[in-house]
Amino acid sequence: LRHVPDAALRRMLDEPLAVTDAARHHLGTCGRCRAASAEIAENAAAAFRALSPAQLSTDSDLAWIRLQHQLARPAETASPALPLPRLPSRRLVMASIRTGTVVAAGVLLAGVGATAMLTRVYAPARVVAPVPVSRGYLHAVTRARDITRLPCPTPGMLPAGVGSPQLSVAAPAVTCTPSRGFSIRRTH
Amino acid sequence: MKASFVTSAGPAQPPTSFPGPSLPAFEPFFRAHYPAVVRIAFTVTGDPAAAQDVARDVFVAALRRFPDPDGSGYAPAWIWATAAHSGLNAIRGERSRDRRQQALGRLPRRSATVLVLRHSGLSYAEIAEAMHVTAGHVGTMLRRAESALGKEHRVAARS
Repeated sequence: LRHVPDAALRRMLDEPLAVTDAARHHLGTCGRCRAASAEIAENAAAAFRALSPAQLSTDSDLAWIRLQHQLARPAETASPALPLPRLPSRRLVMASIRTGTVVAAGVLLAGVGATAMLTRVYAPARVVAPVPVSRGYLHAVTRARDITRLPCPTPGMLPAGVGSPQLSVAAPAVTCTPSRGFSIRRTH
Repeated sequence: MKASFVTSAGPAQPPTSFPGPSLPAFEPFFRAHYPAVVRIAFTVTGDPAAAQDVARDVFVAALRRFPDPDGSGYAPAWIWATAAHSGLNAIRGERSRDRRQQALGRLPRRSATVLVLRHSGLSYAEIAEAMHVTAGHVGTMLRRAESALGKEHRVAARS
């Protein structure tokens, strides 16, 4: 009895109706053909797993527009005749982009590191909130200097946390430079 | 008939000017066959963008070769085969190929082509038309190609 050819055994997996009834009947009774069919089916399943791509959505409308744009280009800049190139331009562009990205990322990281170091160097040891001073208070300080004849009158009451101030008065600006974060400045 | 479809189709000649008036006649052909062509290219490359580029170039070449594709029953088979070949050309020499592409690249071209066409969803009759063989012979080619692909995978797994 003639065995089923490998071609028929393979096609039976995909298009069983294309195989004769005699071949199918023989396969059911022949151990050798069943073993061959099992091996073929195993290889086919492995190939399916290896080659069957994931879901691919195609947009024919967009593709048609792109094709028209491609055709609108001059012949010398259009795609070359087949066989087509190996898409080196895309790969090279992507490689260039990746390389450029790496370089840019390195420069950026170095800049960030330097900035962080400089920020640490020049960072204020302590940040003191400014104390609002009214114009009347400054006038009062000026009058106090005239009355007391002292070069630098000392305020009688300071905000909490402000230590002993070093107050200086000068025209046209009046500046008070306390030792611990207290300042008064007036500009005309 | 086992004539190579590459030699039977011949290399495409770049036109000096594009046959613009044939575009309306070409559009139904494009829309009917674009999904199959881009899927064939995607089966090879595994990259949607690269597959779209390959498909576009295949249709540009097809339009130059078949200004009136409806008048030539050969056009669909030609673009199927050309899509497979163009995709295989695209992955040849690629340094970052995955296992599928490496295995396809090591197979004989006709084995890789029949695998790609079949696993892109083409029927035996369509593959036979594209590769200029009988439908019965497609089964033989497919069985041999899948066996070779399995050996390639086993070799790759051991290495």
